[in-house]
Parts: sequence; C-alpha cells; structure tokens
Amino acid sequence: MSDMTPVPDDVLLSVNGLKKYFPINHGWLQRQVGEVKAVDDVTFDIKKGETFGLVGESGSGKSTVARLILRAYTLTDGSIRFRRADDSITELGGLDEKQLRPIRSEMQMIFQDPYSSLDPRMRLLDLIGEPLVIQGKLTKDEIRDRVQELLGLVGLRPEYVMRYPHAFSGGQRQRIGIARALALNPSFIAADEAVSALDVSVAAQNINLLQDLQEKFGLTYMFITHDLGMVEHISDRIGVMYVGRMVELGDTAEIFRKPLHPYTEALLSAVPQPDPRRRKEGKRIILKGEIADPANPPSGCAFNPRCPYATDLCRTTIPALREISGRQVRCHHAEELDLTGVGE
Amino acid sequence: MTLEATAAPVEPETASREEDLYTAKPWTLIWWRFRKHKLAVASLIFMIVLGIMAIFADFISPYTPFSFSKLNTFAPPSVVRVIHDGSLHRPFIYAVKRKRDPETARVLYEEDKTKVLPIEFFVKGQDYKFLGLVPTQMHLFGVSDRKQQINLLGTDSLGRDLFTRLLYGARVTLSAGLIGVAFSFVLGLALGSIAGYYGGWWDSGIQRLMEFIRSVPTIPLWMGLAAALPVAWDPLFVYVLITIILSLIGWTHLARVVRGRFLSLRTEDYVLASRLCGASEYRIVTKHMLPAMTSYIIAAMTLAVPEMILGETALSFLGLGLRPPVVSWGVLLQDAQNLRSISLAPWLLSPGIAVVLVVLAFNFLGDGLRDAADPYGH
Ligand SMILES: Nc1ncnc2c1ncn2[C@@H]1O[C@H](COP(=O)(O)OP(=O)(O)O)[C@@H](O)[C@H]1O
Ligand SMILES: [Mg+2]
Repeated sequence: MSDMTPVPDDVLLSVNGLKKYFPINHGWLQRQVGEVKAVDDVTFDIKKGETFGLVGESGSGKSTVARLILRAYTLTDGSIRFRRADDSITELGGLDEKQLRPIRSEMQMIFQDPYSSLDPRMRLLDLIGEPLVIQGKLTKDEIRDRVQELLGLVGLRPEYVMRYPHAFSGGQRQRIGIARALALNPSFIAADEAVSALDVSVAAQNINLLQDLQEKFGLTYMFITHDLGMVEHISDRIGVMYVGRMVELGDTAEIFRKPLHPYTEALLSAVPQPDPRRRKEGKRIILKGEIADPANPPSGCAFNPRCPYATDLCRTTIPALREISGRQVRCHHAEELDLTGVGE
Repeated sequence: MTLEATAAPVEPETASREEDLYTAKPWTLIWWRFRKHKLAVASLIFMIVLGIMAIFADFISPYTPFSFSKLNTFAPPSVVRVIHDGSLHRPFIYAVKRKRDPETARVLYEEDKTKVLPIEFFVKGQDYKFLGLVPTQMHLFGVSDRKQQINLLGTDSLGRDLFTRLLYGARVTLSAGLIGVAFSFVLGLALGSIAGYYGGWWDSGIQRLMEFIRSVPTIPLWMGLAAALPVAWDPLFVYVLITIILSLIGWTHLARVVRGRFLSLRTEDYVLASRLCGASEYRIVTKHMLPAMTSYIIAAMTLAVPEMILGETALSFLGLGLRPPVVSWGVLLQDAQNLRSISLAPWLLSPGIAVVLVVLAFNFLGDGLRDAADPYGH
C-alpha cells in the first residue's frame, strides 16, 4: 500500500479500499459456495472532532464498516489508518488481538440494541468497569470511583452501581452503554444505530448527551443510521452506502441541498419534513423493490434496477467513484441529472 | 418487563423493595421465578427427602437388605395404626400369625388384634456399619418383639424387608443416574462447546454424530453394549460401566443445549462489546458465556437424570445391567417379572412406583428450572 497518500494532519481515521467478503458455506463439509460482498472498496476519511454520518438502507453494509474499523472482523482487503493519542499513525488492518489491545481503549462502539448490548448478569459496576478491569491499570476502589464518575457524566445517579441492567429503561441502558464506551477515554466512537430503537424524545435527549460529551472531550463520532433525517443536524459530513459501496460522500449541507446520486435523492425525499416552507410539492420518490442481495449483485451499477434514471450504460458498467465539485459520487450521470434535495 | 410489574405493590417500603429487585443477583431472580412453580418446588423437596433417605438408608431402614426370614415370606405390608380398642394409642402395628390355607396350601398372614407392637424409635436391631464406617446396631425405628417384623412395604420371596431393600436400591439407582449424568455432562459440555464455539467443520461433524446416536434405538443398543460385559466381573465395576454406557447415549441432549447457547451467545452484542474492550477469549467464555449458560445446563442435566434412571432400571430388569446381590430398583423389579408373584404379592411392584415418582419429580423440577433459567427473557 505504498501508493497511499499520507494521512493529513486534521484526519483521525483514514479508510482506504476497505473490503469485507463473508464466505457462504454450505453442506456437510462446509465448502465455500460463494461470498457476500458486504463492504466493497470503501474509502473515506474522518476528521478530528467531527461527526461523520454513515447512512443507507438496512443491509447496505454500514455495521460491517464499523465492525471492520473497530477490528471485530478481519479485513478482506484495504487499509484502516488511525491516529493514536500520541499523534502517531497506526495501520489497524493486519494487527492481531494482542497488538490491538492497547488501541481498543482509543476507539469504542455504542450499540443499537440497548437490551442485548449489556450483559444482564452483571452489575453496572462490573459492566462499566469491565474495560477498566481488562486494561488492568486501576485498583478496585479506583474503578468504583471512576464508574460512579462515568454514571454522573451520562446523567445517571452514582448510587446505581450495584444495580443490574434490568432496572433501567431503554434510554437509560443506552446511557449505560455510552458510559461504558467512555470508560477508557477514547478519541473515536462509532455509534451504530445508537438511538434507532428509542422513542423520539428519548432519542433526542441521548443525542444531546452525545453532543455535550463530544464538546467536553473532543470526541470524534461515526454516526450510523438508516434515517437521513437524523444525521442532518448532527453530522458535519455524510457518506451514503448502497450494497457495500459508498455512492456519495460530502458535506451534509451540500448533500441535503443538492444530492448528486439518485439513491441519495430517494433517501432524502423519504425524510419527513416538518417545516412546510422546506417541503417540495409532490416530490416523493418511492424506491421500487428491495435492496440488492450483496451475495448476488446486479451487473453494472448495483442501484440500476431501482433507479428512475438508469440507462444501458448503468446496466453494464460499474461506475467509478468520481470527484465532482468537492464531493465524491459513484454515478455515470451525476453531472447531467438535476436532482432535488431539501430546500433551505 | 414482567418482573418489574409483578414486584411493585404500592406500599411504604416500595422503594427499598424495588431496589432489592434491581440489585438482586441473577441466581436470586432465578430462585424467585422457580419458587412460583409449585409443582417444581414440591418435587425439589421430595427429591431432597428421598436423597437424604437414600444416603442414610442403613440407619433409616429397620433391617439389612440381605437378612432373610423363611417364616416371613411374601408378608403383606404392615398397617400402621393409631386406634386400639376404640381409643387413641401411639403408632403401632398388630402382630401377625402365619397360617396356611388348607386347600391351596398358600401362606396367609392374619393380624392378631390382641397383640399390640408399638413402633419404637432408635431401637437396637441388626448390626451394620453406619455409612459403611461406624459399626452400630441403632436403627431409626422398629418393633422390639424378636419374632415379629415391621414391613412397611411387605417382604419378598425370601422374606426380606422390601422397604429396606427399596432404600438401599435408591442409593444405587439414584447414584447411577447422577453419575451417568455427570459423565454425560463432561461429554456434552466438551463436544457441545466445541461445536457451538468453533462452528464450521467441527460443528457439522459433531452434529452428525449426535444425530446418528439419537437415531439408534436405545434398547437394542443397550443390549448389545451390555452383552459385551463379562458376567463374572465385579458388580461394582459393572455398575460403573453401565453408567458409562448410559452416558454415552445421554450426552447428546446436553450437547445440543450447550451448542445452541454458544451459537446464540456468540453473536450477542454484549459479547462483542466485551471483545471490543480487549477482553481475552478466556474472559469472554468464563465471564459472559458460561454464566449465561449454567442455569440452562442445570435444567438440562435435571431433565437427563430420569432418562438415566429409566435406562438403569430397564437394563437391570431385563437382566442385562446390574445383577443380584447388588440391590437397585431395576434388580428389585426382576422379582415382579412373573404374573404369579404379582398377583400373590402386588407390593413387589413398589420399586416401579418409586421409579415413576422419581422420574416425574425430576421432570417437574427440570421444567421449573428451565422456565426460571432465563430471568431476563422477554
Ligand atoms: N457475519 C456475517 N456473515 C455473513 N453475512 C453478513 C454478516 N454480517 C453481515 N452480513 C451481510 O452483509 C450485508 C451488510 O450487512 P450490515 O453491515 O449489517 O448492513 P447494515 O448495517 O447497513 O444494515 C448484509 O447483506 C448482511 O446479510
Ligand atoms: Mg446495521
């Protein structure tokens, strides 16, 4: 990977040509009969202190990207370069579990399901304290103090340390997950659909909490969601994924004003618009059919069977990622199409 | 969650009671749920009492299992009474007189309503070694008349006390069940975890093996395996081999439970969360996966015990398992093999009733444990 450009100073995480193919095994001897291209050639940077939104329908490969970055999976190909606390750059791609251990304290994840992401058999003390116990630098009393401090940080009462997760509501559990993620003072947090399972008002509270914490600790977020409406206010930049590929990448405001990819346009048109001045009359694109199967993607552009603007070129040739007016787009016709965003 | 709803009556101490619920250990929650299962609790008590009786069989039983009495063959169960001559009396039995039916020459026993034999406690009786260690003559209960016996469940063709033999048999049968389950626990846990944890090729191999074992009809398989045991071997050795044979078949059920739990836990978010903080595989398995499994494993083991007990009983009944002089419930049931002795002495079937009760109790207990196993289930 010597042809890669060096990581710019303001970038925390640089992902290049990331691929993850899951084997499909079948039969008696578990022979491999195919592969799911869950993530296919994804490239993007996340800047220090920003919130990067990763959007796309369910099944587009967002979670897999997050899990690759956090090295829950091994990479099929590509590179993940991460800026450490001491400002050195580490390639995470080839590291084994032992080499990853010190890095794991610098990057953490918040999960979608507040029920399955907390071990129901552990008290908050052990749950939130687990990362501290594993890193093994603090005494028992120090861990207890730190857990109580973390509970305070996420707006829960410190005396809850002896409780089990079943004592809490979904929103509170999500905060416990946040406290746990913060335990080791990470610089990067991936939030995978972190508020999708919550009620609107609880979700809004937790988003505010995440934003406060970002300000306080200078955190960098990757915010994953299938709901474009959610990321508008919190992300600085967004990447739109479709069947394992990044189809559009750019500033949130720009993309919302004028999408360059038909898939982004369709996602935007589905966002409920409470402000009547911003509503465009009658323009709601309903996507035909289902998201393509990454084990058996259509030829050409993966979006072509659902795209209202598809041409023969789209059906035969996979479009390359191109740079157009400071944005990256994977569409043959990005320049010609005049797509509709969400007005000012 | 249902638990929060059920445990929150509005009372002054509600807050502290809720706090109790919120800080209750997982095992406490399991116990709270188990407690609601009345039949399972009753079965648990029954099994504990039976277990204690089996352990102290030599002290609790009035005689020893091999003491025979030619003049007391096929004696019916002694009836324990409290009313003598129309007035209340401490528990007693009447003495019996042995007679012969003049036509059929059958032995008959007739109660002698004038001779009261009070049941006495901590009486001196036959010699034995308490728990096989301390020589003593003390028995829990008995009658002091030398010529008369108290036979709560009657006697067999050699005049041996069936109640005594049933208690001694419980030792062998129950321990065979438990040891068999212990063996299958080791096999099932090892193979189930390998299948569930490593998956892939290991998983398919172990699964096929389990399917094969389960598809073999058990009785012929037992017979084949048991027939391979030489007759002349030491009964204790045969006993161990029988339990191993039973567990070679019984492990599959447990392995299936363990495998299923591993598969579902492996993809659980909290396991991933732990991995992402740098937890070692060892920590993940011991701190997150096994604790989430223990209650399921205990329930599955409880449900496996009756299978073992039935296996031992069936094998011994068919003469393929344990043989006299070993006393087990299956061996005792051999006496009830022909219709004549059953019609003459139906009490010989009491080991069969004991088997049924124990099997039912283990099943109820296992069901209750299984329902209580996951107090966090939605
Ligand atoms: N562990 C896995 N093994 C096989 N296929 C997987 C695995 N994880 C995800 N996939 C497949 O990869 C694709 C992308 O999944 P995912 O990353 O979860 O999408 P998203 O988070 O955008 O909904 C899906 O088709 C999914 O079925
Ligand atoms: Mg996902």
